[in-house]
Amino acid sequence: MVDGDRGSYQYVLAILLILYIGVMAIINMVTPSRVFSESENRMLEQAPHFSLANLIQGKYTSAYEKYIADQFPWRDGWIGVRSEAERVLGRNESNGVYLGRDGYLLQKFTEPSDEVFQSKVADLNAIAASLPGLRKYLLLAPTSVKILADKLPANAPVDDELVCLNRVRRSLDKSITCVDVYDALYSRKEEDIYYKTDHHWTTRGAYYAYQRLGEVMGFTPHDQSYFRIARVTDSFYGSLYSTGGFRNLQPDAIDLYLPRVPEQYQVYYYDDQKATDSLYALENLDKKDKYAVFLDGNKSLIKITTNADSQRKLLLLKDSYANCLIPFLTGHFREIYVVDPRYYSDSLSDLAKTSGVTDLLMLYNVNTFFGDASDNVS
Amino acid sequence: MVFSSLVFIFVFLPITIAAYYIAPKSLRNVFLLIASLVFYAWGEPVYIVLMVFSILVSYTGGLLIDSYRKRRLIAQIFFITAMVINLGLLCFFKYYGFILANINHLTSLHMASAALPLPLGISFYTFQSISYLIDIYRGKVPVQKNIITFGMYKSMFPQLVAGPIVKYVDIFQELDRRNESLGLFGEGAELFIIGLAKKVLLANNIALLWKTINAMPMGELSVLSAWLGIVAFTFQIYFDFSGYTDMALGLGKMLGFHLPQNFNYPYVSRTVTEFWRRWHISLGSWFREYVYIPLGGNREGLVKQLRNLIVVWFLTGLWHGASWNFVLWGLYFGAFVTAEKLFLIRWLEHRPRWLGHIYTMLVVMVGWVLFEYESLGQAARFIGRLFGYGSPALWDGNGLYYLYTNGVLLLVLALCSTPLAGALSRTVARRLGTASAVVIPVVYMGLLLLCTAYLVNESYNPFLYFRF
Repeated sequence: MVDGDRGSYQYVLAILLILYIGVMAIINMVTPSRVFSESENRMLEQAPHFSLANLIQGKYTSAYEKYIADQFPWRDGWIGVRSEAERVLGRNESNGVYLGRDGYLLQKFTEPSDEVFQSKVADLNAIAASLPGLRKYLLLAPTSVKILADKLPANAPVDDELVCLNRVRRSLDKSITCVDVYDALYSRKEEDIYYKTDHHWTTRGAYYAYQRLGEVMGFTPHDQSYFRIARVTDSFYGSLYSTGGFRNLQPDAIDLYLPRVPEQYQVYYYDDQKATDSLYALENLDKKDKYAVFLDGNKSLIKITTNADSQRKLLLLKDSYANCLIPFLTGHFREIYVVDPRYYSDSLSDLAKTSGVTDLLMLYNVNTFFGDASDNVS
Repeated sequence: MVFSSLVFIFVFLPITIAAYYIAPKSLRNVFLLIASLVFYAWGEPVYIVLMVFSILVSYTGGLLIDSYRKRRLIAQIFFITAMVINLGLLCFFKYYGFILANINHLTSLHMASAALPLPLGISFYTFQSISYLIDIYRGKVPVQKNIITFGMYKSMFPQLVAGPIVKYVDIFQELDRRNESLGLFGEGAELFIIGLAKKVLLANNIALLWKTINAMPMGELSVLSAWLGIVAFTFQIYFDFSGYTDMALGLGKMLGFHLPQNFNYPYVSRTVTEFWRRWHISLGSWFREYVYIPLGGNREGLVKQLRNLIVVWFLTGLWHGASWNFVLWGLYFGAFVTAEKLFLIRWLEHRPRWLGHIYTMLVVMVGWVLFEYESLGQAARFIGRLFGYGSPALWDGNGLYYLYTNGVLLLVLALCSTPLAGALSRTVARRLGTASAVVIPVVYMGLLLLCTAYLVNESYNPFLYFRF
């Protein structure tokens, strides 16, 4: 009896297995390739081009494997299944992202090695030395993993961003003034100053950093009442949602702080050679990376000309943390040159000379700054 | 190509199985040979030349030895030549850099060595060829006259990458005549899914823990973290390797072959000797048959037996990798096996069972430290941390975090390391009666779907036995 059952279940299993791998193989072959994964926010691998040279070097086969994995039917569904399985196992970290309390995803911070630390600080000092005569400021923003540390899973092994920030301050050339925003943010951690599913600060978080920036740089920041807050989306799933692969989370909302009395400015994107009068690319709200609503994402060089009553001109070296803070600055600088050094390859000192900038602000988040992998939301 | 990849499961396998069963029986060996060569060439296409050459050498060697059987000396010359070529290829591709480094070290020469990528499965298929040549030379098996059949034996993709090491004598009848059937296919499917789940769900998952702990500065390791690390590695290597073997056996059955079992719950052993009867069985039996016994085994007095043990364990260690730590690892086990032969087993017999289990696992786990760290100094420091020497604390926040985020997984791993999991599922199946004919396959398919999800999501799929 038992033996009979054993036999019959194996027939069933044999047929199920053949059906499963056969059907999946056929679906794989007949479905057209997707170009882009919305939920992972990256280009997907396409069928590799066959050539004998590629084959012999082993490139063809490895590209083919990536292609099969990327184009696997219901890819996003499978990722969700795994995410649930991990949750059942009590796992709360995935690809360096923690699933924290209250639906917060927090990106792990690992202290840089001495070598990396020294070279990054040396870079800052070298930039400062190459731009004499400017007032120079550095704003390294802590990320949610530090400010919202109480949302982390118990005992989660992350390094302390604050220790690292203080170390930077001590190693920095005296000509650079540090803008410390830690206290300003920490004292408001109950407000929504960081996104839950994205690694950026919210516009509100950026506003508090802007206030602090005004104190240090010597301009008078606008009051909150100066702005009208416009909620432009409430279905934003950010970079940490993609990276971590955790599912069943609430989306974020994105707010814009718009001056009640509109300001006038010209925005020029050098990459696309495109001029516009808006700091916002609202069409990006229909895409996955909705944070790109601010200044259309990361560009190598943007010039903003304002009608601010000021003689100061700003050179801003930055990562994407700056994107939602820049709109606050238009009232205080006549011109702003926004440079993302990850994409900008020309000479900074030439740019500074020809543009006649008076101030340099370097603005990064501490995690991206020390990690060599740039934030992948570009 | 590895079994635990989407490309294998959803491209290579369906095509191979379909073509294999559509083809008439007379063509199946040719087809299997082609499929195996494609499988082999996938990762490192150039080495296909090596595989073909190696097939030709052993095949011709076998023919020549057989046809000069009456003229002992000539047969001997052919036998030795074929052996030298086979072992020479293995030495060149696997041990060349290691040998040069040692010569440089001893002689103050500075010979440059280029690091060659290790040809897939060379340690396994070389041993298969040797078993064939020796058995032909001894007249234990009929010579294989068909080069297709021989090539298929040597390159057969189910066991090509990570064994088991199939002795020619164990399988030659099935090479020419085997009975594929749906029932056997189903048994194979079951084994394949079990193996895949072991590799993808268990081994890869716990590997993350070892990877994390291994990356921590050793000065910061608490005793708890160190133990979690080595427990993780202990599970990882077993589920990785035995999972891979299960897949191999399963694929074999799907194609009508019966490959020998390679693991038998090694972590339930009560002595180190028993552990090695349950761990990588085909390797142990290969060394016993082709090294230990020809050297005289235990029949020529204690001194010779000790020498033979040292030789076998030295080679067993070296087989696992071209580095001294593997040799040390082999000799370390040799020492325990010898001590057990001399007195330890007799002593343990009069002690409670748990003592044997603890002693064995302790020896095995400390062994894995030697296995994993190339530098003896590092291994010694890690072992120190295990026993509190140089540790900053007994436990710390990190250790607790890793414990609670891996606790469920560790329990599952422990359960699956013993025959309990199998017994449990059989009991449930018996309770279910005829319903089990549906329920069991559904459970297996569920496992397969979960494996698919993990494979799709894969960011981490190292395969440990690639170095061997």
